[in-house]
Amino acid sequence: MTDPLRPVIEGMAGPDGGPGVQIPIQETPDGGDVYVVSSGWRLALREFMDNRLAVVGLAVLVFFVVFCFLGPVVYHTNQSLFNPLTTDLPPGSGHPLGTDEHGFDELGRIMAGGQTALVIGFFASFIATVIGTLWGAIAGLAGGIVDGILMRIVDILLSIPYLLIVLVLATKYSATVFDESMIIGLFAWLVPARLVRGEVLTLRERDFVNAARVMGSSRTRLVLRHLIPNALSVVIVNVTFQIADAILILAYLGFLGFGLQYPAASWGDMLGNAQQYVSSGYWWLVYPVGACLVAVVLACNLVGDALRDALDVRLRRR
Amino acid sequence: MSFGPSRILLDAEASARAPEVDFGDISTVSPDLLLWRRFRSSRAAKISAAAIIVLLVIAILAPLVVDIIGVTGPNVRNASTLNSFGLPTGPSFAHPFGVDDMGRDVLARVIYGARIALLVGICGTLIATVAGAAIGLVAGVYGGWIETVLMGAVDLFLAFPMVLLGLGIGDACRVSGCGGGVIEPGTGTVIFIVVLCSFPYVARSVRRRVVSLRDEEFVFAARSLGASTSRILYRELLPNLMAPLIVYAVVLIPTNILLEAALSFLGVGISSPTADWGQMISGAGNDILSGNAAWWYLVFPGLALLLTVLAFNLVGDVLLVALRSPTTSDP
Amino acid sequence: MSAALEVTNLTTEIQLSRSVVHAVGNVDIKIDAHQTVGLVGESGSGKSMFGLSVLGLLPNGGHIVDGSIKVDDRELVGLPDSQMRNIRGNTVAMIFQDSQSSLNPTKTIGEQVAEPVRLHRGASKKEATDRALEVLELVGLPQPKERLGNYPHQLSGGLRQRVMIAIALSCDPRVLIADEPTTALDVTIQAQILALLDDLRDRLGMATLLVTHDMGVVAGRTSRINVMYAGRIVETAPTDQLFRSMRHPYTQGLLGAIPRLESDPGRALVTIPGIPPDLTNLPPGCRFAARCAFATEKCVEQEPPLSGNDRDPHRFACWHPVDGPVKRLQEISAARSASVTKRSNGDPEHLLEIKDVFREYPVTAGVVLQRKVASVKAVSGVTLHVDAGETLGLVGESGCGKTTLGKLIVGIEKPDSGEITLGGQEVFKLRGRTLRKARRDLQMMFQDPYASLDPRMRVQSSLREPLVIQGIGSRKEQDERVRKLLGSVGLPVNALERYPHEFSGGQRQRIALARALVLEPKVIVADEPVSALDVSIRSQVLNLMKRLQIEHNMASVVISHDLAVVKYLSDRIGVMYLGRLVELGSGDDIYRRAAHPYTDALIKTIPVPDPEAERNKEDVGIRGELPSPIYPPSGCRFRTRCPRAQQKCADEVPELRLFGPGHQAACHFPLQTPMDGRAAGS
Repeated sequence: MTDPLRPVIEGMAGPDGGPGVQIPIQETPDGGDVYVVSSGWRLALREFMDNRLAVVGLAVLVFFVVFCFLGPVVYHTNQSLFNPLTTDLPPGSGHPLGTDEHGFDELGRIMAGGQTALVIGFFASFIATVIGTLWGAIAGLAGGIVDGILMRIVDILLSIPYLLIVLVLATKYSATVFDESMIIGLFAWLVPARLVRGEVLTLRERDFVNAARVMGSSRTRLVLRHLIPNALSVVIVNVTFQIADAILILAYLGFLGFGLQYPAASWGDMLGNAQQYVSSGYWWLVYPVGACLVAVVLACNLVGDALRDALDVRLRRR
Repeated sequence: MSFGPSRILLDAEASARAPEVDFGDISTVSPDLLLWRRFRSSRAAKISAAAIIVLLVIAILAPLVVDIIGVTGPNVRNASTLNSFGLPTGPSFAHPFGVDDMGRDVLARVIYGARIALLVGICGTLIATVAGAAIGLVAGVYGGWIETVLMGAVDLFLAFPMVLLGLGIGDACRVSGCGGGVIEPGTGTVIFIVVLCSFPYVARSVRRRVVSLRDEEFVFAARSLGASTSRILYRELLPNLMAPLIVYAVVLIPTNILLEAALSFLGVGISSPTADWGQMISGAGNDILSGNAAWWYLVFPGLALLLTVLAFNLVGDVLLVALRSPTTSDP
Repeated sequence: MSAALEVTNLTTEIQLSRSVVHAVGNVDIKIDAHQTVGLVGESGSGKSMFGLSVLGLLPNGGHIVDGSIKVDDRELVGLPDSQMRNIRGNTVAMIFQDSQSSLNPTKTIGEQVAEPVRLHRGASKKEATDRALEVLELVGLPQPKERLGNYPHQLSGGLRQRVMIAIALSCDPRVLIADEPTTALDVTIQAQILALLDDLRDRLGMATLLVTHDMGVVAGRTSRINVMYAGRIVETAPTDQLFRSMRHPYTQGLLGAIPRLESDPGRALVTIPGIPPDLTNLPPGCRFAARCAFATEKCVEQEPPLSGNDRDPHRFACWHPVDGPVKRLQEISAARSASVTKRSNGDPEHLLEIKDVFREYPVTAGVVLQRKVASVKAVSGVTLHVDAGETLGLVGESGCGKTTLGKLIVGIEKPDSGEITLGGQEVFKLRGRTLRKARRDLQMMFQDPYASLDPRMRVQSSLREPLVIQGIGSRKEQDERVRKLLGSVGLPVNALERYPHEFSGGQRQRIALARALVLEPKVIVADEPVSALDVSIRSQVLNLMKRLQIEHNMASVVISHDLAVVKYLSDRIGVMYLGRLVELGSGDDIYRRAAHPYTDALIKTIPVPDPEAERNKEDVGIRGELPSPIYPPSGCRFRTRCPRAQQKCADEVPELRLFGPGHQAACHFPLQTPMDGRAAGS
């Protein structure tokens, strides 16, 4: 199809004065070819991988997931029958990390505890993120009084001494995995709420949101199709930190006695009697668990930091 | 959310600049002053700030205040206030907040408790801010392996259940202090733990800010004028960090106050008979559990804690928003 | 006499993690004292990298691979950073494009201007401040003493740019590199700054390198121009010769692609198809071959060297050079006319009517509970109309309200008072489903091609979205329509699967245009459609828009600060200043018979890519900065800068008066004689 607007250029001379020889060039569409540029995510991934600490962190996380969930498949231990003969044994034959006061193998307990800790961590973060994201997105989009009220609620909830609530609850209820996740999640949503609101406030002014409005988009569609997906990067970074925090809180909860019923336990619960164990000399019941906990939390932190840096780059270097 | 400073500090910083509008001549005001002005124009912030100042005055002049109000001192045990069962009496004319199980006036103890809370909160925050800022600056400016090492160490600190570690430190330093006597037992130890818990957050925040600043065009322009790295650090970067740093500190204070309460609640550091909110709540909690329905010496310290933290939070919130606003468009 | 700056065979590369960017290749440039040389190119041409190479401030991974840079015979390549630091800001200085971000927001002007002398001459604070005052006066900053204590955000763009120039000059550099010094400024301010640079060069004798993409800017200010493409110099010649008899097809295309005020809108612009090459993956032959209409096999295989030798004034790198500007441009069949229906009483009924519209933005104090303390008077009583099939252009500088008006038309904002009707109905008073349906007829093409597409959605989804929201057609029909549209905006089908960031700016703008057309609206508003694009891409999009205007026969409103672009696309033009409409008329009316002094000033200060015209430009007497839209001047808002202003202008707001059929202007002392005293209708 000949383009009526393509200018006909006349009177062009070749270097020797004669008419220039023309060979038609490849038919590229007027707008030019579209080259494949590494997508935003791929670029971010590369940035992430370039950060040595992040890779280490990721490796550690993967290791622990495998260790905790696949470990027991390979390494069977008795976790249910009380055996008075094998209580409180230090690391030695048959029990690489010794046994606890009920005769259960410590290594096996660490694996089981890790499963619980990781499950609670993920579950709690999930709850927190979903609630927080919706809350923040609605507040950010609505603006005005609605935003003010929603955010004041967040502020006030943040001022509450968390400790007090937990204490009261600890006396009344004992916990299941679900309970612990809820407890953590129901207070952890405050942070993503603030974050997402901030992001939405920024995104709201962007032209593509205006464009959607001009098309006649409803508010719901704006939030679900445009705002939240674009706020995702912030949310993802926050999730890794949430997981780290959740696992840490488990330690505190366990210490306070608001933990799972024995023999079920998370790493936090296992650290509940740390002081006694140390003073009694049962170091193998404290340090290995502690080290695992610290390692996983550290890994989450490293990954989260690197993700945040990488995603910043993606935003900046367009 | 953890018992340490919450991550809101770090992430609240993340914001984009609002679209700039160029208006020609505007009144003579520096960005820092603009921040202050915006703060002043918020009623909620002014009320909160006033409340904080009042609290500070009361805390500093605690003995005087207690005298003026006319209640007995915080450590004065007065068995006569106990009723016939040996249990403490509630709010009365002589003791507006009631007495605790040893006959000590709760109002006085709440007032003296403010001293500890503010001392630890403010001092601890100050030290943590300076230390964290230094680390973050160095890491951000020099980059490379220095940055990797420093930030790795910071992350490691963050990975520890600090409060639990704090218990260990508290125990260890209880009798004769730590660090060759620099860290005294009691308040000193608590401040030390608070610093350990909060400086990583400051360091991380500062580093992030430095990293984003170092790519700013005015830094590049300074370089094009021939400035060296250290010169850029002092003359370009530092002034740009002042305002956010102050705001962080203010936002950090309430979390550290809560942390201090939590620590004494758990038995670290501040010991009886010194009045301390966390301890009072802890003691009260125990009594309630054992059947003593003496609500007043749980509620009043709890309220005091809540209101103080709320006031600081509000001020910090307003400052945060003011920090984000564009530096132009102020008539 | 040795040149102040002599660059020979400079080659710069940037090492990325996985590839190498060949930013600058074999560039020779020579500048004498008291001389300004232009370096012209688009984004990605390497012109900025060149400046950074001279200063030794390449980004991470960048290094000079070959060549020499001599300032006063002193070799800079290979100097350690400590010595380079002595040269930066001292012997070689640089001015940047964006003065807002190049100045430290937390330091006063005085401190920043004094900084270089303190750094390089070891001056004390007092001495440095004295010098700062001296330099600020030199650059023509009004009331320099009072300004010393100001902060950057308190100054307007033009004043800030003067401050940047002052900083660059404070140590009396031998070489000044000005990288797009006026691109971010309004047209009337641009002229002032360019004149200032000329004046300073004459007085201080620096060798100046003027780096820009704007051919008009270099036309009148330089004695020699170098044209860069994909890292290479493709042509270099004395200014007059370059414009009159260029030899390289790229230069020819570049000049032909720029719409000018005197261009005939009935003729197409020269287009250079395609986009510049990827600098990490350069073709073996001539780098321009893929886009060149005259390319032969030789061009694709062998890279042409610069013709001639060092002593030739005019050199170019091409196997088949052209001979001067494009002679004849193709005509566009102007088979469209505004269709105006008449109402029963004989008054014309317009498709889109804007009646006496006001919009103000409150300026608030207080962070939590915001109180209004003043307001920005964005649009103050504008009355306009657009008929079906015609294009109305809105032109003006920053703060004139044209963008706000655009937003009001499509309903992103609501007017504080006044009416906006489409086909007789006030669209934005509707609600719910009727509103949504009515929105089909008013669509917008936004300014920033990066920001107006959702980065998370593939092109296919973005283009389908309007149809999905409006519930038009089945999935198959929607896909069909989208595919056809994509073809008509000149993009390949594989674009559908991609994300916005995978496209160039021009391609993104085509997508935005396609999206605006999907609903086949009656009125399309295009806000700065080409401002963010490179020159050679601009003409592509402009030609495309012209063609689509004809094909779809819709009404459009084109908003731009660039009068030439507006004139090329529009049938009628409205000139706005600080929220008011100051003149309205056809392209010819505006260009040949401007009645309002502001319009006249705009026309006369726009840099024109014609050296002779630039040199013969008269000074139109526009002084000062744009007033703040928060406190606009009383009466006629232009009076503070108008050379013809008198007391009456401060007392009375001028009404629109007729100067010819369809030609109105609001001025008490216009440049033309009005038809009669009748007040303006629509």
